[in-house]
Amino acid sequence: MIAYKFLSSGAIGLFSRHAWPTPTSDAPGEWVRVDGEVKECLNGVHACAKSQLVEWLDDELWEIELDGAVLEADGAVIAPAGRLVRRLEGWNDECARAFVGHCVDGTVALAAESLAREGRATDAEALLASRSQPGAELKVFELARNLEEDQSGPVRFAADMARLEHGGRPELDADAPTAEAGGPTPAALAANLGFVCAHITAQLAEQESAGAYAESFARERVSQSSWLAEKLQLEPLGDAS
Amino acid sequence: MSSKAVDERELVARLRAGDEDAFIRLVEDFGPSMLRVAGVYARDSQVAAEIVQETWMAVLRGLGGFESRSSLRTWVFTILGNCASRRTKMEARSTPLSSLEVSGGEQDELECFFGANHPRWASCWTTINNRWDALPEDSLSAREAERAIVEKLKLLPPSQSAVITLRDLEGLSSDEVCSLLGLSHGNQRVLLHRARLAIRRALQEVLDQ
Amino acid sequence: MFTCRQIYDLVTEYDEGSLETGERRQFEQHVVICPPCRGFLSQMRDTRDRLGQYSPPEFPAELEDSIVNAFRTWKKEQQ
Repeated sequence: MIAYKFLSSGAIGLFSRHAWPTPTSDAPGEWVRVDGEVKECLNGVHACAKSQLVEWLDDELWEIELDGAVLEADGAVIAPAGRLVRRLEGWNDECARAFVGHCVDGTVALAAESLAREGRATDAEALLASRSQPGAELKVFELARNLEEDQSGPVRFAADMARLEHGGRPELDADAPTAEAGGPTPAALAANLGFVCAHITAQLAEQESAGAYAESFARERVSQSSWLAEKLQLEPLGDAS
Repeated sequence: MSSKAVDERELVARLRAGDEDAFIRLVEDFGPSMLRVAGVYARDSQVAAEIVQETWMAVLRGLGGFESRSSLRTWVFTILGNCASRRTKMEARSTPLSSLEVSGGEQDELECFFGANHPRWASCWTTINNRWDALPEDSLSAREAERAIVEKLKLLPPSQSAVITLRDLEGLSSDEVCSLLGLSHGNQRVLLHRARLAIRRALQEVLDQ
Repeated sequence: MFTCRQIYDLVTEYDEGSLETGERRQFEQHVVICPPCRGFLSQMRDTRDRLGQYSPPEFPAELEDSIVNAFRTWKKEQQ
């Protein structure tokens, strides 16, 4: 069975710290096998299906062939053996940044919608416009402060995300350290902001209708996975995935 | 039987037969670790040395009764633990209450998190926590890091120091350490956790430059 | 889903393998999406690995001598 596996730079497992044998031009990577019973999170080669990609984002994306009885768990697939088949080069820093941009755009749009619903059309337009201006992360941040937005609302969140997108930290002032001081890889940031974006979307849905969080979150994640599948030219997510 | 077990049986037989070379090799093999562990119980290096000496005497006297149920190393370190706690009145069978309380160091780290009431980032890190670069061995930074660690180890509460020395420096297993120090697995984990956090903090100050 | 504070509190239990599957899954799900927690986990493991590399200081020669002498005495007593 073919599945997908994210690894940190150098084909290293994020949790296992295991260095995976990589394919050569002629052959897939060597088989990695575990002894004993396959148990989610505890024992086995862990991978994910196409619909679960956004939940495991990391520096490198690989196609992996699994062998043996595959356990389908909530959010992952686990098998007694696996080998890396090929690197999906389409998932790279540029793609990760595009994904981040897509998530931040989405959150800014939600924030603007929320302002518009309150009758603050000018503010909404200003927020959307600031997104495409130079120094957008500061513009959005300053705008959010000036709007005296509810501290837990989408405008402040959007401001945080714009800061994070450019290597800042939430809540810090405009002259706080930027990306030079270190920070996540583009893929790690993508993992982060994908989650935050889904969270904000779901939170807004919850405000509209109690109990809506979980479904809205899941739907947003599927939408993100579709975006990614299309970008990477994997087959579109259908009912079969 | 594993080849390691066979080697051990042979070694024990030789020791019982009074083979001095075999004994010296064993002392040179285990000795440095034993001295390091004794040093956790007794800060005075002379006392630590005496503990090690007494341990070897007890090992020789007990050789006749050693049944290979545990490894030789575990057995020797168990004897060491008993000698050390007898010598230093640090009770092996109970953990001093104070070492399970929140120490000053742990309270400090709470400032690295947003409060539980933060409107958007409740209980999240305020800091970035960068990956540390690998240090070239023998570099200035590597030596500084080692110095920071050694210093910090001396300042830990004794029971934290004992656990982290046995687990992370000496590589003993969780079961071995629980047995040696008379700790439950839960207590051992708490002590290990606090000790590692403290060492990490010390390393951060050196490596985050 | 865990908070960063919980990751901080549970990291050793995670590495010791004493979390139940559900908690372990939640731990990993949080770390994947949280860059500071990724960094923290990596630092804690580096700390542990670094400690494992430190050889104990040299064994003092006088101490070895006195232990060997004690051995010889013991050996005599056996005979």
